[in-house]
Amino acid sequence: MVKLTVNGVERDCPADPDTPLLWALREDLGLTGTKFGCGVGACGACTVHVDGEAVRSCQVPLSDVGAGKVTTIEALGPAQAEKLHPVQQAWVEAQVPQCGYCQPGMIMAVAALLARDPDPSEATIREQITNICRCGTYPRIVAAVRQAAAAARA
Amino acid sequence: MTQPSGPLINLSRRHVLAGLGVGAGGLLLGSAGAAWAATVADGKAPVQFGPMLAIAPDGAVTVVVPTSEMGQGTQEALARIVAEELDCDFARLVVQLPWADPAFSNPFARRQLTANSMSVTGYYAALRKLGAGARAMLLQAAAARLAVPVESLSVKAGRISGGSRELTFGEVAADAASLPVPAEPKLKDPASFGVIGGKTPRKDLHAKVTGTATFGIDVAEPGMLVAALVLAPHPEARFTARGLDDARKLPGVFATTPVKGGVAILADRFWRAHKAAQGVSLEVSASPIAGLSDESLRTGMQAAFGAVEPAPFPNIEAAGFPPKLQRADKPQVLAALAAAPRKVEATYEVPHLAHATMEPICCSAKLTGDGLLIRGPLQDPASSRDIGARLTGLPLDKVRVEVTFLGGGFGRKWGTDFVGIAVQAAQAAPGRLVKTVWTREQDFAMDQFRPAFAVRSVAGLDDKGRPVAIHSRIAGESIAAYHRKPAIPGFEGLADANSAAQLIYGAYAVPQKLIEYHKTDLDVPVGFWRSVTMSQNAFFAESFVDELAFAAGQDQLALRLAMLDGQPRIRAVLEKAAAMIGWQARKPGAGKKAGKGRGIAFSYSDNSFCAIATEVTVKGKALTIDRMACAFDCGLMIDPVSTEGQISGGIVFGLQAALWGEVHFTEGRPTAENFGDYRMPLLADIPPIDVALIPGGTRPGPVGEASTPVVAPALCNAIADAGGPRIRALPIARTLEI
Repeated sequence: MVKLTVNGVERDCPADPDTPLLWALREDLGLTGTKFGCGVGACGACTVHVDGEAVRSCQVPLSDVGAGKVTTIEALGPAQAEKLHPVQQAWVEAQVPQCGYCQPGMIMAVAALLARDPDPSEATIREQITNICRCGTYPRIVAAVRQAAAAARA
Repeated sequence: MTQPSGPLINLSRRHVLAGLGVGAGGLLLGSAGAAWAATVADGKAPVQFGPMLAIAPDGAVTVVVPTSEMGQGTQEALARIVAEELDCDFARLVVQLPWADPAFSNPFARRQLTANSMSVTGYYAALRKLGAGARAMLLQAAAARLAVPVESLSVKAGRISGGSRELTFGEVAADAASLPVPAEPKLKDPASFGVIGGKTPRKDLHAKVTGTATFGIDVAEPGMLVAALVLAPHPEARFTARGLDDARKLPGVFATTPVKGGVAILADRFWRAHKAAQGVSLEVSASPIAGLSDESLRTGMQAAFGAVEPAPFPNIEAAGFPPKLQRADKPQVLAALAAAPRKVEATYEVPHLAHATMEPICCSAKLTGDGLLIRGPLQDPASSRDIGARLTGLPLDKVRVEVTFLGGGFGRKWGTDFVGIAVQAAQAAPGRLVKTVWTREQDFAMDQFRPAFAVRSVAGLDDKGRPVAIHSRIAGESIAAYHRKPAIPGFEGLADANSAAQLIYGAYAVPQKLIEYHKTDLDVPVGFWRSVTMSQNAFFAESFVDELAFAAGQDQLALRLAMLDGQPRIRAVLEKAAAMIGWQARKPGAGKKAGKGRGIAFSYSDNSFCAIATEVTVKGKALTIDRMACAFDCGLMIDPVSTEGQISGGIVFGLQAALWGEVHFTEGRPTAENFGDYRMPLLADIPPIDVALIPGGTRPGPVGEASTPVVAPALCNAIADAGGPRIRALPIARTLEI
């Protein structure tokens, strides 16, 4: 049994300690918003926050999480139902998602970027966000990130 | 290999069917367009208006959208069509994901499958009629209730007004259900559409940004098992599995079982199944692609030009609907070529391409005493049901197939190989849900690839530089043959349309055109890949026409337009895209000094026209894409915001293929293992992309596949114009650095 703090709650996770955080979240804690895309940390579909930093959870064994506070897409927004985080809100307004599979990871990566750089330049956004979207939603992403940044600062 | 039993129809076959006279109205024989009945169970349950539409007593409207949502926005589009004619409150309308049911068949395909950009076009008439018919019944019931003439009623957002009184759809739904279904309900004038063509946000966005949308990989229930696979290099390979006894002893492992082309290891968690699978190896004794390499693939295709008798494919004149098919007279074409004062020849090739959907291949199945349940990200639920029945011996009515959201499809999830494997895995654990999850490595290695092709083209120009004859021959694998599809009736002896259609654009007014196919048997698993035929043939056709402009010293746009008299919509998208980058007529290659070039290309199918103009800079071996401009016309747009997303996203998909897309083979296996070996564009790679949607029309056309195939020829034409090499083999990264 591994102790984890996920979305503000301490949980006992029965998965083997070498299990990647991704699979423990999905299969043991029922948090399926975090997606499996590649298993090698290349695509970012599994991005979660650990202590506020964007982390590709397929590359983190449970045993390495320790006291790190894990946040997943399910708890990114405010606790009230239907309320969205500014990045999620911007994603809806700009109609970014197509298939939507990569978007939880994309949104988590962007939220972490905005947390450390509230007003990133276009160049910074392009350089820092390295998640793969196969539907090719990139043309809408830069504008949506800028919109989210403006909303978060307001 | 698995074999869906329905007819195989794709982008180009749609033309073929239309050409056979199975035109718009005549195709509406499928079940989704068939007569329906209204049923009311009791006072509390929703009233069914046929299998796809339900209205609850509280007025809630539910539409089962019969197609698979893989990002293309089909849920939104089809729901809008029903809502437009029904006049319900679209904001409150709930869309339900489909299950396999003959009543949901696409009226064009006569099967329930989502492919070929055929969902809106196939269901449009049937869903309008459904919405309009239900509306007429609701109004008639309200008129009876209020004792007023039906003509005196008005309806808005699910509320029927008659003078001072108002009734909701929910209040009259049960009464309406007992009325006869109108055979030909009055449809709206498209000029009055508001839901169709509106810009409200898609209904699936909230679930997709909060992580609550259920994709195939998210299917779960208590007590379930997860299967990891060990797969041979080919579905038909023969092998002996080693290490199964040890695998079964590992913690959490429930069973191991043979599946098509490999072994499944079932465990209580993915990671335990996956770890156990690492200890299992397959000793392969025979594989249909043993020894296959890039070199042998190329040699095989080139040899087919000499060794395989070519099959012709007719020219498709797609200006009208139905388009005319014209068979070429080979001796006449050859004579025209021989007589031409000037000839241009070129050879081209494109590699195998992977789909690489972000959601790796996965599917769940559960076998119980009641029957078989299959749940997953499926583009072809009807064939999945057939496969479930065949593998279990159950009758069809004991097999239920439910479609989840698809984390991308692009044609890969039209294949049903993975469905059969999932059912076989579930057969090893009766009573329990078994979810089979492929690794990304397996998703690449066991893809059903877009086939590789090689082309030899020759054209004759007259003394003014005008093309008078083109003869293009293509070699490569046949998708229809791999999937053992019968020829379309009336088209026996002709080339597989998936390989050969539109190898020379029928729209170009060149007096003599001949397309021939040298079918090449390579046994590589192949399948539909976004835009199918056009994914290769737009590159071949539009690169060669560009080369003719260079040979004639004529402006590339002007030469195209000169051959497109009588094609006003193609001309319009070409001219619009060109204007968007400030195209000035000049001789090809004039930008060489500065290393600046511009290129243009287009693609089209019935009622769908897409042109891309692009500007590039080529300095030595370094390519920079300065900008891309796209003009698109699909007639009536159901959902303009999604349409723009499909076109710009399709361009990104096309960029990947044009710049980097290439599956290598060595020693009988594809070498791509993960994204590190199959370069995907990231945010930093995306050039400025502008899309202009050309409004108009009263009939919707295909959208999802339109822009992808235009990217490669537009870019390669621009590279040549910039004084760079004429790229005749994709991807571009073989020749230039990006």
